[in-house]
Amino acid sequence: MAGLRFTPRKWFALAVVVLATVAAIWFFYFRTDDATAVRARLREAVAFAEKQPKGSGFNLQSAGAAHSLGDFFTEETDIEISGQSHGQTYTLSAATRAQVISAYFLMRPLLTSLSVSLAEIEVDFHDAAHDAATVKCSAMATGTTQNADVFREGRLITAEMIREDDGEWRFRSLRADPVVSFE
Amino acid sequence: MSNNEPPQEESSTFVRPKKQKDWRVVAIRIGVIAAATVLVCLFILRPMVINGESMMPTYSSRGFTFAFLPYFKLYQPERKQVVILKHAGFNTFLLKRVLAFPGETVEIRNGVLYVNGSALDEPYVKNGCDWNFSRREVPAGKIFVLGDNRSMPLQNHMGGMIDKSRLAGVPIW
Repeated sequence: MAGLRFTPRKWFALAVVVLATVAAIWFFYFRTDDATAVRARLREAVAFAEKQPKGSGFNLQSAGAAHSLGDFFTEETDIEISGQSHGQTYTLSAATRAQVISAYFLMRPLLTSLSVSLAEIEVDFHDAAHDAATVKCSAMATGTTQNADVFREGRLITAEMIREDDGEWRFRSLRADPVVSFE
Repeated sequence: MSNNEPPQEESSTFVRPKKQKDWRVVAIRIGVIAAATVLVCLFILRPMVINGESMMPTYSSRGFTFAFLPYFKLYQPERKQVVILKHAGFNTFLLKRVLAFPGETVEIRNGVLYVNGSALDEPYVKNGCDWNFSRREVPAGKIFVLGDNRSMPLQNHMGGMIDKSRLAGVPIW
């Protein structure tokens, strides 16, 4: 087939195109700048907060998940999670990491399953050193309660994150507001 | 070979390449149509399944519609218009009715919505309610939305102020 007979010049052009494609894929998906690291950390925290149906109850799995999730918070954290539209607000002010762990450990058995997807993640660094950032995103939580009620709720997340001495990004504050609210 | 015989070699030469070309053209057409359909469904007319009863009886749960996404790039929202709002993520939207704009006051007394102190005529609300909601102003950059079904308690109804930037489109029916 005449069309597949490549001259050296064509081979060179093909190599350039392939390299440019690989570079573009790396640049957009695999490069690890600070904003990407913050996004990855956020997704990692969500993965620990999620729950599969088989891990119900107060058990070692719940304790492990709660302890792992606790590592995503600083030693003093403010958490404020508002209910739907007109509901109550769950507040945890100046909570220690141990309090965050125990709060999640107590809440987890109330849910049979929990899945969270994040979108529209915006990272805004406070300083040139990129050691602190405000992160905004929308989150959709779906799952079932122990009473077999299915829920599907959206929230707008605003988080203050800082990079601590060990290089890990942690939440200094976490706020979840309803997308639509009477207030 | 007599001169009256048909030129068989010539006719067979033309038939084979034409068949190959037809197959490729059909494949290309299918590809172009599939790509165009995906692009139209993602950015212009997005198919949506309605899940929930907050817009009944105007829209029933498990209904189906298309969202016309470029609408709010061309027009401003109007009062009583049914709109589609981004909820969270890219796959969940809210279907609500726009009732008030920034700077206007809203209040609900015994189930009647007052905008700037005047009762709003809402023929699409078929089931009355006893909601009460104290007077407040719609902040800048927000709009006030409610569903048509107000048979549930106010705290179970997803409605209120929402960022205008979350307007995603309008249902086409």
